[in-house]
Amino acid sequence: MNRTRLIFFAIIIVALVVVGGSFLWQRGDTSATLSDGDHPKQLEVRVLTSLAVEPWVEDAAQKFNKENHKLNGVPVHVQIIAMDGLTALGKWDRDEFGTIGDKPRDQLTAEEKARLAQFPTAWIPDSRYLVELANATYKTRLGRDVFLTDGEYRARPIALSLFVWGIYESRAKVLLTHYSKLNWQVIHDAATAKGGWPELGGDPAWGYFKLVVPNPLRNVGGLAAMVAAAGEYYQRPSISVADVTKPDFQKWLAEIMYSVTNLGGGSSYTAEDFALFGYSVGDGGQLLESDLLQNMEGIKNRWGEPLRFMYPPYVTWFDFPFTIWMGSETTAQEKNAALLFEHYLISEPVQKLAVQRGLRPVNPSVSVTDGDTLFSRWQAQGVLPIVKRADAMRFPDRDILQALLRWFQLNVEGR
Amino acid sequence: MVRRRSPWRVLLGMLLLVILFTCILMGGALFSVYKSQRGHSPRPQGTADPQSSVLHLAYSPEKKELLQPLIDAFNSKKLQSDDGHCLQVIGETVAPSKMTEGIISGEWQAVSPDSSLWLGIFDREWQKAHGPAAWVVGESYRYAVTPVVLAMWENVADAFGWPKRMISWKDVQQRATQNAKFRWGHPSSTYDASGMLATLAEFYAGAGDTRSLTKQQATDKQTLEYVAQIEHSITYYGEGESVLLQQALARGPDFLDAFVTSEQMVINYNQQRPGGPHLVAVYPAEGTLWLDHPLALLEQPDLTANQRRTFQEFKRFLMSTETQEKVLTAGYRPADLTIPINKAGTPWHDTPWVDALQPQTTLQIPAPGVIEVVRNAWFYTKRQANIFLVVDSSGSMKGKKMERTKDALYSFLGQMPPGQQVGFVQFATEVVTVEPLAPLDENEPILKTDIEDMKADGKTALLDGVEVALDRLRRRHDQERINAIVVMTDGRENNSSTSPRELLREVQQGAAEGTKVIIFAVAFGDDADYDTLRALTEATGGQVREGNIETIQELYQLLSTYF
Repeated sequence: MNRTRLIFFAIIIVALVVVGGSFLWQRGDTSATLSDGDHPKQLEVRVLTSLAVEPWVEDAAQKFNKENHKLNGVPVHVQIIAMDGLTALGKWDRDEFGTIGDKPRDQLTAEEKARLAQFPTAWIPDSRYLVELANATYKTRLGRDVFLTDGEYRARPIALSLFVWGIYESRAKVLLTHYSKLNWQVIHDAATAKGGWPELGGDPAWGYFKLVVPNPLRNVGGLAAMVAAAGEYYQRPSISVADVTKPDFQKWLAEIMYSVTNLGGGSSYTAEDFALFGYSVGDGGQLLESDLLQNMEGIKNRWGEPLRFMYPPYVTWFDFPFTIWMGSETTAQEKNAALLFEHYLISEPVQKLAVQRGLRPVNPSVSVTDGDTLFSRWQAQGVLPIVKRADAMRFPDRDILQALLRWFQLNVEGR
Repeated sequence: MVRRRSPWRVLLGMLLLVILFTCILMGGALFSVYKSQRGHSPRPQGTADPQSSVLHLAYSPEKKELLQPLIDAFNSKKLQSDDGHCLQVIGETVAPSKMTEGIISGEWQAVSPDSSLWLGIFDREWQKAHGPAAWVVGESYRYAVTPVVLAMWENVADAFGWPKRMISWKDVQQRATQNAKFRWGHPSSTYDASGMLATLAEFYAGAGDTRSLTKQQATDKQTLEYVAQIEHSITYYGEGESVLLQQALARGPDFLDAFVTSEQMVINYNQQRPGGPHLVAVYPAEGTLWLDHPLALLEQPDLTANQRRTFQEFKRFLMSTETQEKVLTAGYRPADLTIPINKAGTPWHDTPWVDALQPQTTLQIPAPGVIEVVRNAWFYTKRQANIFLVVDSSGSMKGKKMERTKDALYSFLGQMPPGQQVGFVQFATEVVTVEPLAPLDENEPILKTDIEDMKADGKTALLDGVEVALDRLRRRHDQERINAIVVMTDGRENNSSTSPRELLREVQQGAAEGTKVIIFAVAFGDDADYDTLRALTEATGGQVREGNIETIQELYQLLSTYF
């Protein structure tokens, strides 16, 4: 091979190395990005999750991550962010996650890009009504819905639970002996009994009747309890702004709320607090069935007696919809990765895990009483495997919720 | 001979050069595309910064013995975030009443005060700074809880009818107001939750109820008079539960007959004094309150995903069975309800001093606005004080020490609430200046002139200076007020005519006559005579504190928790 040919081949090799190397370099480094480009190394799904289902969803996410699920060959990683539905709604309302609207990605500032990397891919609030409220905000701000109510990406329930009365057994016996039933009116009468428990036939050491209701400013369950109380007060499953602003109703509700032990503080985990502090902070309350079921064993262990379950006539359901963000803040691949996790959550094995946590499954092939579940274990305490959905309390619209929250802030918290 | 190149070879060479050049250009273009794409690819916040996974946690001081080893154990696990940074918690003890400022300035991403009562206050202060719709307290969890109790010596509890009869807040309050020999105390309402809860119980009793306390009821004249009457019976406040425990350990039943503290402190005391005399945890009949030690995430605007992750992992660690067993051993009730608290070997098993099934009821915690009113109203109802400032101006105080002392004195005078009576003694080789006790609004200008005129010179007649103040307080014989002496010195006693023993005898005689005096000391520098100061202060229920530039401004707030 003469010198000219050597130089010729050398130039060709150098050219190929330069082109190939650059290509591989670019490909390799592009794949290191987490959420952008056509070939991400990993798809990150960040799910804002209601506190009531967070333990189950977190377990499922860890299992999902270990199983190395992929979307078009790209691994999917799920990160769960626990946040009460109302807190999350407040953040959506105030745009604290940092939407970019129609701004092209290449015009974003470094700060906007950093915030975008934290943007939730999906949201699991307590109820679909919170999704509607968030949509209403974004409709005003962006002129479109950001969470869909139909189609493949629609908000879809992943589990169910409902509000139920949970009363310490010793206290429930006295209440049922005195009133023969339990509803909001009975709670009102017990709460306003001037002589406290002795007047109702209970032990003087119990003090006054103490109701457990989550702080509605911190936990959507508190709001649901006030709505349920209103429903029973008016004997119908639907209420209006006029209903909740009537002085008679407000006086009646205030008398109930004043029997709550911790009006201003408290954590968002009311049922856990109820178990941890026992009858000392609350004789009973209307709380989420799954929360109560998860704490029943601990309650019995710590306080020596279990709760009695009683179902109200107008039932408030939480359906925990898996809701995928539809804005340009997340990529199409990330949206599909979120969908993959949603399908995983409603698969039969994961739904069985939900039942183990006291949640009711949305997958019809899973039963709440199949095997040693919390539902079968506590049936003797009044837990019902099947609850009629005919008398479901309708979750009210934004105006009613705001009226109730304002009233609570002014008349109960700010008293 | 010159070799001629053929034209096609020249063309081929040029072509190859063009190809090479094109390739380099393409490589460069591809690289710039990569650079451009990299710029658009958002990475998780904090990826580049190892600090992004460090969680700064402020926690209340009384649980330092429990929490700091747990923080160390968590950090030693060296858990990592997804982007490879170490998940780390840095703990710092901060009185809950001091947490607000640091929260607003973004110093911490998590807090663990002694009670969730504070969480509402933090949010309230945050809203004042960021608008009514903003919240800073995010997720919160309990990992260790303990009820507030009335700690009584066994014979004192017996005298109240325990265990057959339930003892109430009102019983103790009545005993204290009717029997001058009954000595009781609670931590300062401004410092920790048990003090605040004790005060709350007084306001409830004053309002004649155990729930629905309103701002109006809290400021009602009758309620305030009732609370003032009880507060005047208080023998001892203090900056927190730990101090009360230390005093009980040091002085036994001589300290107080009863005091407000947590069940955990009662367990702690009895564990350290198994041979007795024992403290009994009395769960008041009207109800008590819980110290629930929440671990709360602060939703600071710059909170990173990694810090959130560190919080979650730390929470998980605190809630692990192994950690929860440690919580139980320390005398707290663990948040893990599957751990039985009255099984064999636990502090609740087979003992009359604490009861796992108590309390049966609690007082209602009012809204944060009402609590604020109660805290403010307490200042006007609490027992007033006669305070003698006894200041060293010997030669060793020259220079910065004298400047710091003057700063401390100005700071003291500036922070004192109305109603306090203040006197002043300056000593060096002998007692130089004595200003008698008088209401601060009357003698403040004179005191300020005396302070301004202080010059360092001579020897140190520390004990003589204290004796003069003690004598003035004894002569006044004011049993309505707390009598206190605050000594500021840097050196060793070397010129007094009285001895420490004689001085302590005078303190005891004064107490026997009804004028109990608490002595506090602020020591500047390493040369201070800590032995003498400790002997004086500890015998009277006071303390020695080091006075340095960092703490000087806070000293009054700290000492004022005692008066």
